[in-house]
Amino acid sequence: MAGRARILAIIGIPVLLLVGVILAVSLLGGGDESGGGGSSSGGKGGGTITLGMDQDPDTLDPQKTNLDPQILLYLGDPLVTKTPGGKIVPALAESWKVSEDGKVYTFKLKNGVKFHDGTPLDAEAVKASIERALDPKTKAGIAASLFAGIESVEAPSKDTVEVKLAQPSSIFLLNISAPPAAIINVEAANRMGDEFGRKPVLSGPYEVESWKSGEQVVIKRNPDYRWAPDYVKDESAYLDTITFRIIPDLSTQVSALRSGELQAIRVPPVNVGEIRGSDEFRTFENLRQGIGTYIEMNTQRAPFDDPAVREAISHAVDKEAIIDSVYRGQGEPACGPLPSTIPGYWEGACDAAPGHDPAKAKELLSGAGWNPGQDGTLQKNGQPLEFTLLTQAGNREWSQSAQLIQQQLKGVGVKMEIQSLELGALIEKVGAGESQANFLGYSYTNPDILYQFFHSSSIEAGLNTTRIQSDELDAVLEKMRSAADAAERDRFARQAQETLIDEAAWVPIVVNQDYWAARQEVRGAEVGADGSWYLQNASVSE
Amino acid sequence: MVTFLIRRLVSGVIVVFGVSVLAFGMVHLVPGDPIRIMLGQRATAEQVSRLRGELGLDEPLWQQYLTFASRAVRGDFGESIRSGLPVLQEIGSRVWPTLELTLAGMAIAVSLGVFVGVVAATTKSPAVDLATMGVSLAGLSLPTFWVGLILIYVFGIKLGWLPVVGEGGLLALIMPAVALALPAAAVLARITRSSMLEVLGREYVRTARAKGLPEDVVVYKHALQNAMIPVLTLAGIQFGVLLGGSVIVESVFARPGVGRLAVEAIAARDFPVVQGVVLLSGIVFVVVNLIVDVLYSVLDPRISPR
Repeated sequence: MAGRARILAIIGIPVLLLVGVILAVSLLGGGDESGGGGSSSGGKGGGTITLGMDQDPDTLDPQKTNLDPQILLYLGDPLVTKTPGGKIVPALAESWKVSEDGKVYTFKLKNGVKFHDGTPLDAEAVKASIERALDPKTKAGIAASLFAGIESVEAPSKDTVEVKLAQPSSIFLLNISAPPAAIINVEAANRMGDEFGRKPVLSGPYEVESWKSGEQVVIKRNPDYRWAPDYVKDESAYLDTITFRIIPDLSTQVSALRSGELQAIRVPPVNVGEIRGSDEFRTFENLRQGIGTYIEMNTQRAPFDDPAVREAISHAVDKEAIIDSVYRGQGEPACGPLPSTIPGYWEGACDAAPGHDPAKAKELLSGAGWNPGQDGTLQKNGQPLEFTLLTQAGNREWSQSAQLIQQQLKGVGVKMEIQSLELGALIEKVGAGESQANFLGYSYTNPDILYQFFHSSSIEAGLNTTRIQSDELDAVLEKMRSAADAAERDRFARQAQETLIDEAAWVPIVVNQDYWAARQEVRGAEVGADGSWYLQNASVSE
Repeated sequence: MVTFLIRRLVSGVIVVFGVSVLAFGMVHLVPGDPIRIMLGQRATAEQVSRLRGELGLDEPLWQQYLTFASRAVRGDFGESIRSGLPVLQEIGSRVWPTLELTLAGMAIAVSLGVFVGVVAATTKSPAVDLATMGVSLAGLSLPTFWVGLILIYVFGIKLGWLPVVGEGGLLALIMPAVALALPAAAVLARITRSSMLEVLGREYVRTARAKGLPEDVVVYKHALQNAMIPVLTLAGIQFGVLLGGSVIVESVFARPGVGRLAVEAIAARDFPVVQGVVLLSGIVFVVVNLIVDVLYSVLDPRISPR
């Protein structure tokens, strides 16, 4: 465009100064405006605590969330709940019975429970809530899968709820103990529309006071709360407010904890040493309920369609070396698809799993017809033994581990390329079954995860990206899922692990130790087995 | 003037149209499916296709673009896939923090840059000149997020003077604004220095000195005024750079701005939000440019817009 270049104005310092003054004035104005909210009322009552959180909730409608934000634990009550140790205990239901055939659960509700808006939470409300989650029109998120398997819900009396399942399920109670299974006020949800996701009307010890996107969610104590589960010492919560400060950068979270702006965070592995070494903080640790990293190999694509190659890879990887250098010793080697922290873990896993043995790896590969090629990479029929490992970009531990594995595999003549993708692209590629091998991690509370990872029905839609397909394994996993009780479920889970370790479709690397820290002034806080903060018994000393 | 304005407005509309096509095209061409990200890997094929249909993402791209464009013209940017809230509402709640940060960064960059540049140009000591230009080179080269982390460590933790993330307000603005401003200040310092050196060699400066004016008056009144022209041009460009830089600074300092909204929306493939942010930024740029062009002629009557 003509005229772009004729930028000749004669302005001097006075104008600059003027600009400066205008800026200063507008900034001061803005400062007042945005400085108003979020200040704590420290002195009176039970005090306040600020937690670090790395992203905004998508929505606080328990039935619509796909992220399961931790805040839901404080806002809502499910029928049953989990103690910090993971035991299922009464919440809204004070007791329950299961029918002989395992298909009908009858819950007896606590009396006098009210939603945040004062409406009574009775059997009809529970029925309406569950039916909303099951209605496709709701577009429910996690909650849809938690309530899946329910055939019908009845409310024979004001305090009795009868839930009929299509099949007996060993995980039904576990599922409905999760925060997204909280009972909601359907009438309020219908009335409020989208606004319900910002200020949900539930029945928990806290309700939303404010939510400023990208900044913080503040929840305040529900003064009428008298129906806390037994593990909570007082019948209602103690802290007046809890602020979830959204800080995407983990090192900034650590800095804010040090400066006292945050009282509690989850500690990233690199900072564990400094935080544990300081007496300003109380640290909490948990062996993860899940596998921190594992390689999953596509058993329907070369070169991993050959079980010998999969086993050789397992022998070639040195898990201890990865844990020592990448995880700074914070974790233990993973042996099978389940960690010792998930019920149903098979004790024989570590004896059965292929150990670090590069010589054995080479032997297996040469037995399978792979011979040394020119550049040190093994070959068979002119094809080099190489594959691409997909992993998520931006995860420090994963990318460092992948690089170590790359070197370890090179030592036995296997060439591995690493491709780091951003989450969206990764899910698409992995889901399409195009990848040869992926480098991922998971957390879960119970052995049903084995069904989701390895049952053949999860190949086209689901997590079975190893594409393992075996009628025998399917049968075991189905029996596990429909087992009448946990003991029986765990028996089948062990059987499945034996088969899976033998198949060697996964190289599980590490069950990592996770760390949390709270400043010393925070008393009575706990971290649950699932990694959530439990602050119902917490208080802050001045 | 009127024909100029009309011409610029028409070309502005064409630019905005181009931006809308680019914004729409880019988010849809990048791999990654918002439905998959939202529902997770465990979702069944039916769940995925049902939600895709509900959000209109199963229609041909050109049709989706037409829907998007015709609604955008009426000021409706649709709803966020992630939160279900109207895009304009999402952006609106984030505009002020970004504006505040960019303006503060601009103020710091201009005052710091011009001051350092003048010092470097007028100093008689080659060591001072070298040092100031060395520092400005460093300011230009250090990555913003790193500067941010260092500031946090020194002023937030060691000295405890400033809040690390804060709760809004001026104190919480200082560190992010400085981190954002440093590279721009460095650029401005360098251009100020060279522009000043050139002007100081001109004859009217020699005349001013010859008639016995104090050196301060010569430098700050006569020389700097004229040396500021290229500096202002560059400052205008730097404003855009600062807006872009706020993306990183907002993440490091946990500020709830538009930049961070864009990053989060891209990660979630939240198409409507990304399109909304890009398109609105495009409009802001076109408008700012128009204002700047008009301002030139207001400030200097010798420049007449054609």
